[in-house]
Amino acid sequence: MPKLKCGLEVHQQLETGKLFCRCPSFLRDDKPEFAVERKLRAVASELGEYDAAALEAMQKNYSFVYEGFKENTCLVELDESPPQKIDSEALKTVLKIALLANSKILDEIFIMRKAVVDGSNTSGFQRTALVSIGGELRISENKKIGIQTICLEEDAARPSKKDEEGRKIYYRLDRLGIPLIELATAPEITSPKEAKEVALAIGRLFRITCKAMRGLGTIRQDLNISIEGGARVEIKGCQDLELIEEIVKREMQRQERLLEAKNEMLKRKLTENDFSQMQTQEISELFKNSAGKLVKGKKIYGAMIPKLKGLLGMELQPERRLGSELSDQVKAKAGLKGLLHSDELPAFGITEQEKKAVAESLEVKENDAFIMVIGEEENAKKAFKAVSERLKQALQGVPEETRNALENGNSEYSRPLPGGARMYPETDLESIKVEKKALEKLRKELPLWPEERLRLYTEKFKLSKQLAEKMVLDNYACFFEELAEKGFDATSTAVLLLEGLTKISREGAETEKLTEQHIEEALQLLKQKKLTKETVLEFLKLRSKNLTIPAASLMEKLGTTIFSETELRKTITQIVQKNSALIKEKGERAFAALMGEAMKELKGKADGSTVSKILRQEIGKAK
Amino acid sequence: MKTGEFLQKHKLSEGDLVSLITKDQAIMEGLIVPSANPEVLTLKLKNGYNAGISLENISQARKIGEGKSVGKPPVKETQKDSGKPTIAILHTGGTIASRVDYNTGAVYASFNESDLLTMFPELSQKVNIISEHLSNMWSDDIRSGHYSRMAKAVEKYSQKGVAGIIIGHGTDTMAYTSAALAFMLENPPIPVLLVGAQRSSDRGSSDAAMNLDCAVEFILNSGFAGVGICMHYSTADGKCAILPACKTRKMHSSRRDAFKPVNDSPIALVDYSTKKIEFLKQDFERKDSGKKLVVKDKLEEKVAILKIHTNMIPEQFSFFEKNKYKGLVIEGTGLGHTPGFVPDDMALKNRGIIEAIESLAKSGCIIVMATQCLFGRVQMHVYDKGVRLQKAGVIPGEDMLPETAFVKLAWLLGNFPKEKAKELIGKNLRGEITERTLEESFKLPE
Repeated sequence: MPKLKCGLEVHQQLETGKLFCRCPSFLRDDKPEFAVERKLRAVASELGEYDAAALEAMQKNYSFVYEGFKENTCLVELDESPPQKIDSEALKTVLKIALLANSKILDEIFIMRKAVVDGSNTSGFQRTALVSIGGELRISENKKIGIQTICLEEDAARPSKKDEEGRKIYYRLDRLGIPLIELATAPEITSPKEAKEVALAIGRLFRITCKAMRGLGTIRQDLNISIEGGARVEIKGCQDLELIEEIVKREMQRQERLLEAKNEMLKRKLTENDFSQMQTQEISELFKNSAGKLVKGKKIYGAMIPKLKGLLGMELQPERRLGSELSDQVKAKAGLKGLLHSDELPAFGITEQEKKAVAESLEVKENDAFIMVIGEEENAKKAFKAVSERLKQALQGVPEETRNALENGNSEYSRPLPGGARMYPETDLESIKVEKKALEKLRKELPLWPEERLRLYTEKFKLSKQLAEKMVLDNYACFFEELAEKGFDATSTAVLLLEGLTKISREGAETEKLTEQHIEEALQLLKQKKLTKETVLEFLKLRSKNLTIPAASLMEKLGTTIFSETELRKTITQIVQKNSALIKEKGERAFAALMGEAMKELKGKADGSTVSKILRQEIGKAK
Repeated sequence: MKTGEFLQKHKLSEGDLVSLITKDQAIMEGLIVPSANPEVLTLKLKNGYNAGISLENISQARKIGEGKSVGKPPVKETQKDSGKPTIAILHTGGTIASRVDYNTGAVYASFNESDLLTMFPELSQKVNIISEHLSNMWSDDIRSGHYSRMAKAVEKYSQKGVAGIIIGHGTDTMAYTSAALAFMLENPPIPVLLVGAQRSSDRGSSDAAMNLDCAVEFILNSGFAGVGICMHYSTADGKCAILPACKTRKMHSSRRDAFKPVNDSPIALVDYSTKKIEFLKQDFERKDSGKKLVVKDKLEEKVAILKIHTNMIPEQFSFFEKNKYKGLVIEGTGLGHTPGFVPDDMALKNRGIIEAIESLAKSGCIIVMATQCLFGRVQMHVYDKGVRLQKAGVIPGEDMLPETAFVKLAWLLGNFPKEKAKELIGKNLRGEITERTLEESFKLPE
């Protein structure tokens, strides 16, 4: 394995309110309630230069359509009102993370505007702030990983759909503004396995704050990978933790193979010139009557590439070849679906004869190769230009670029590495002065590390190991600790939080509406024996649909007034009397049947153990 | 220690590339940028972020290079194309064109033709531009002299034969200016459009470009003459509204479509994509080079607006008499009312208000009533309160906006003798008063 230099950059959504407005942070996938169409302009830099992508979008007259719901979108997301003060919970959370990671928090934090040209932000920029620099995270007994920066920023609008013909790109505003913590490690990861360990450690760091948003897409991981002799490649979108190891492995492999390809190209005495003078030609005639659906009657252009036979088909990653890299360029820069090359033909409905005809037409010799693209001449020209550039890069080795992770661990070209971030201060917002006193206070409120939590839960709160392990990384952990410290029974609290709420949610309760106060209220009633283990969940189910009525009214609705022992004994005595014959016959063994009947009648009015105790007593009396 | 001293001590200046070591051993490198906080040194780091370090946390600081300050690019000469019409752009504020220096994070306003044409290349294909920088001020600081200067500048360019004039203006008092210019410019032969930006023009989302482009289109292709406001019609980047100069108001503190007509409709809508112009009214002045522009640019300064509220006292009205005001617009309640009656013991302090108003009128101050409802017409015959106020000398302002009535009164008093001014206040001169109020004219923001 070649020497690896790798860094990880993780973006984690927070479960707090949105960062710069007071809208709630959640996504909705149903039909939007409104949509607003906008154009974004390319902004001239101080040198009078424009960002190429932005300029192109502006020239093509693309519109961005922003869809939203009243529930979670306000004028701030619509860029119709200045941003509101930064969400205090989000700020507190990122400061806690910085403290936990020994990262040096700045004395004054500035919120910046970072130019965004793809329309994913209605204002044309993303608000982002650098919070701390440096620090480290322990990933195993004997290894720590260095941290470069920790930032707090707003998430972008999420892409919805693209209407090519109508030149409209759709975005959903629900995600815009959700707080993101960005943690960038130093490039100190030295193996694929370590990359996964680092990702896990960072994930744990975020989760112990109890504010990390859970679910698919709430954490995004980007890897910066280079091998000795290779180049820095950024691979974005590694969402699946399990895949990280594979992604690193395959990128190392890709870079290695590209270096081999370079050597082979040099061996074949290929130079930049060979790729500058590519002969291109329209070859549509050859496929006018082809049997291949892909090519029949289409406009097709071909180009001969000298001395590359066999190399286009060279495998860089499982199922990806050098030809795939060229195809990526065609997709990205010419807007076509890709290219076909001689090393992979005959295939896709193109026959050996047709292949020979193309070769002849393009004057392809023994060791040469050719490529074909399907599309209009203008795009074909762009495609060949892109291929030519990429082949020139191949002669140098590995190009620096940004790639997108694919499902199997491979990656594909996305765009050039971002240049210097175009940032300037967000003057609509005050800077954040970090007071020493405030940090000292936060230090006292830092969450425990997972190992410390496990010890606390099992030793002090006497939770079973299984329950404790479940609670350690749950978002309810912090609340659980609070409640346990307040004297609520740890086990029943833990069970309620980890299992009870999910159970009633499946039964139709709107548990997302329940606040911590609601839960504490229910636990209090349980503690006071006004509710039983059975009824406390019913209470919460009702509470989720009646958020503000007083507890007493809710109890009435529930129809449970807990029976006093006298009333309980009265009911049980009646049952015993009704079944006196059975008792005379079976004696103690009548207990089971009578217990069933008693619980049916008394469900919710007393807990099982009390009923059983009294029933046994009464049976004993009646025998 | 303050930042200034610190810089001096270490022989550093703003714009220098510096390397710092903090008391807890962190090393930071970056460009020194201005600090609002005097106890903090602010650096722009290589990664683009700004970072603030307390001076007391810095143990070492040394300069490692000169900062790259790009500043403003050289001004390019613009070629005038005789085949294209010319539009004059006058800047008074509310920058419609600005640039960012990403090295330092500073935002610069741009006023010259070359900057404008670089930032709005689509304009250079349609028109030649003459650009004049009159001022770069907050629009609330505008006074009579500034209105007068704008009117005279319009006269100058009108005489030069431009196709139209665009005035870049802060949005806060843009409607005051449009009314002022509408009155000051009698018989305009060309369109004069006020254009602003609700989102600053250094952002990709700025509304400036669209507002400017639609204004240019309207000037070139509508045949309209006179003063108007050109701003977004809705929150989308779909159409701009050309709004009547005397019946428009800023109705939202931040939305792109903040400007709405009150008791009226937009004159026209301009579609940004198709450039199509759709007229919503037909009664407007047409372009005619034969028309002779007459500028009456005087304004009486001692005119005010007083907003009526509950719990008022007579002194609030006698203040204007004491200070010798020549005109007062009362922004009354409902159909045009003020406090002044004493229905019970608790309302005793209302006594004297109407008498104070009467005394003010008798002192020679022209008092006009507008409604704080903004929409609807003032009608002072319906209730005895209104009748009493008229008897006291208050003149109904019809369906004028309070701000428009204020500007009109100041203009009338500046250019006409008092009796003539009194006669003209209730007469429609520039579209500021309409005779018919349509049902659809009561529209809340889109």
